[in-house]
Amino acid sequence: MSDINGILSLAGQALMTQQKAINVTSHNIANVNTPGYSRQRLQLSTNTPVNTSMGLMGNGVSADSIERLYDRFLGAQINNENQSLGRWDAQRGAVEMVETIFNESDGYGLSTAMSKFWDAWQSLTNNPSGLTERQLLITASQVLANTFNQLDSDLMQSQQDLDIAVQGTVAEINRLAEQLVDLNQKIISAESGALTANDYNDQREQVLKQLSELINVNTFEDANGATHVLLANGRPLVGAGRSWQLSTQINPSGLQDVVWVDESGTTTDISADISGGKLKGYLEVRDVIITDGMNRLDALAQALIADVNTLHQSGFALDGSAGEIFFNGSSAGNIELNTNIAGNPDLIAAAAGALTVPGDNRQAIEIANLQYQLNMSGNTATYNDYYSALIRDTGNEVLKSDAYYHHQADMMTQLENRRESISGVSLDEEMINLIKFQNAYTAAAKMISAADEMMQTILQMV
Amino acid sequence: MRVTHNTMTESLVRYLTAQNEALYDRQAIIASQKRINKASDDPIGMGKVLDYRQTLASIDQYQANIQSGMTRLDVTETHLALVDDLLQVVRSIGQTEADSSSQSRQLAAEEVKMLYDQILDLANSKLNNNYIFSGYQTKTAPFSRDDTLATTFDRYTVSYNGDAGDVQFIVANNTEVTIDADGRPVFHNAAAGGVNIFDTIRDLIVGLENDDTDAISAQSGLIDQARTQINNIRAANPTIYYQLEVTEKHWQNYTPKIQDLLAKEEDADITKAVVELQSIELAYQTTLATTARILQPGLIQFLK
Repeated sequence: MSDINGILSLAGQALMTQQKAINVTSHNIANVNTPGYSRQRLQLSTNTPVNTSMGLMGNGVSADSIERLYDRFLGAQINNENQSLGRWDAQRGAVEMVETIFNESDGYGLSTAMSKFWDAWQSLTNNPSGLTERQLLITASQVLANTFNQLDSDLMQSQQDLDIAVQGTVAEINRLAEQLVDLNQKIISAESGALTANDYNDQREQVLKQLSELINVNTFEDANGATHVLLANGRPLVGAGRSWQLSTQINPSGLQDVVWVDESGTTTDISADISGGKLKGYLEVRDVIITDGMNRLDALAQALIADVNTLHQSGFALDGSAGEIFFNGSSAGNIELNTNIAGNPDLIAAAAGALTVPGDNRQAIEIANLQYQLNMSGNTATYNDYYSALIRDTGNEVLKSDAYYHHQADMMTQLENRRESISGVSLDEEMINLIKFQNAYTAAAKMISAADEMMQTILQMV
Repeated sequence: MRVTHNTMTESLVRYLTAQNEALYDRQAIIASQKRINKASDDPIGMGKVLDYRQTLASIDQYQANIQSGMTRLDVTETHLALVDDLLQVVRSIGQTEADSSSQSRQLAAEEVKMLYDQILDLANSKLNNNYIFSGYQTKTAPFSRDDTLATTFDRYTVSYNGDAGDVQFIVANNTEVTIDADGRPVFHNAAAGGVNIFDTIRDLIVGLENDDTDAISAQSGLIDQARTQINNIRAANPTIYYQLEVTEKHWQNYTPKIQDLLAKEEDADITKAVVELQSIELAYQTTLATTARILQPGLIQFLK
């Protein structure tokens, strides 16, 4: 084999191998900004040497395989942390929206409306028969009721917005699950010849990362190379060759629960099992934080309605008739000033006796004094204290989710940096490789021309 | 650690985003002049801010209530002072006419009738369109006489149409100041052992018309008693007035303290925010400059 043709074929193979290496390098450079891409290396090895009388003689280079530089453990860790990041990212965004609804910082919120309401009762005490004072109280009461209504409907609206986000996320999860099935198949067929499907593996990792941002999942790879995805409690989402569907189902509160659909089409509610990903963030804010806010607002409205009504009904209107119900309704959503009173200011019961109208302001004083009474939270808080606590807790929720989000984002940054340090493409490195392989290519070409010259020399000898 | 092109660009993006966020926060503080722009800026502070704001609104209302009370006392005092002056005139007419001619007494009777109506008007005086001496019956004139009756005695006899109600003003949390609105202790107090001013003057008028010297002389002492009755009421009012005044002073002193607390809680330390803004700006610009320098070169630029 150590003839000139041998040199020619060895040089030819070297030429092709370096070209392959340049090909891999250019693939790396091309994908320098592709998310989830892991840099690749052409694995080179020497050819099987030939036996000669001198012993084994080297027989050139060959390309074995294209290797992908990747840390499997890091990938799993990133997916794991990404579940938390997704959750707090979604929760932070949603809870900030709630905070905006409860915005009291500019002084036009429920707190101000309540304050104006009590002040209007006090003004009435100064002139219990005054039409202006009565009209002012009607306006203040309507503003208070409207503020309650508005807060309630805004909270309900954001709950519905989150409901739509939940449905969208479920659709996205289903899409990603189908994509995983597809990639699994491609990888199994490509890797059946003991080769690695590098780019498909990167794509699958990327899809898994996207999926873990949406919902908490566990994954494992089977012997064939297919990735299985399990939801909480071991319910499969992606298995060998197929995926399961998630769906949504309306619950008694009119919101969508997340359900898992098995082979027979039976649905199981898995909302409570979801502990990570954006889905968790949306569900937490929708079902816990907003619901809590609405309940507390309702409790406040109920107490206010009941307490004001009780006192107002034991008072007497300007015509000496017994006081009517002041506020209609039973919750923040439907509290409303009694329309009879709204239409006839004389019906406001400021007097404590039927015969003491119109100058008697004792009942109005009783009602005005309600604001200092500890009627909320088991007789420990005033209405205003109770509402302040709601604002404070909402603020704390934002702070909490913001802190968790930043913590999680920092963690992800660290992990991503480590992933990048292993799998990321360095342009400098690739340029050096390019020059290295290009030089080797040039040298191999030189070998061919050297072999050619040798051949010419021999031919000229003839 | 192996640092790639992407590691660097992504961390640069992160730094710039973080600095932009910090710049935005300071801008919001400087523009609004407030440290707390949303509850999450300081949840505990926000609770205090709401509390202070409510307190300030309440104080404004208390001061308005106190003003109403003071106005009422002022008006009452003015009216009662005038009643006292008029009673003095009535008394001196009575004294002058004690030894005078019948003709002169007839003329004096007409004069006293006018004074009588003037006092009646004062007893029926209104504030904000409400009678101030008729208890809770603020829309009913407290004292009335019937001009259609036959005798002078009957025409100049008044009845009280109000009740025993009073007026209360909320001056502080759960604290009310009560001002009497019952007209009887002032003008119509015979039932309670005092003087009925109207009856006294009526008797004088009747005495003058009937040329009855005894009846005329008899009223002089009663008018003195009536003046004492009025002046006792006038003497009691300043105590209430003083109480209102002290409470108002208290609120006036308290308001700046709460405003101060509110400002401390809510207002931005502008100097601090500006200094912070400047240092963030510097960091931002430095990062931008560094970014420009780091992003430029790669091996490619040096290869020929």
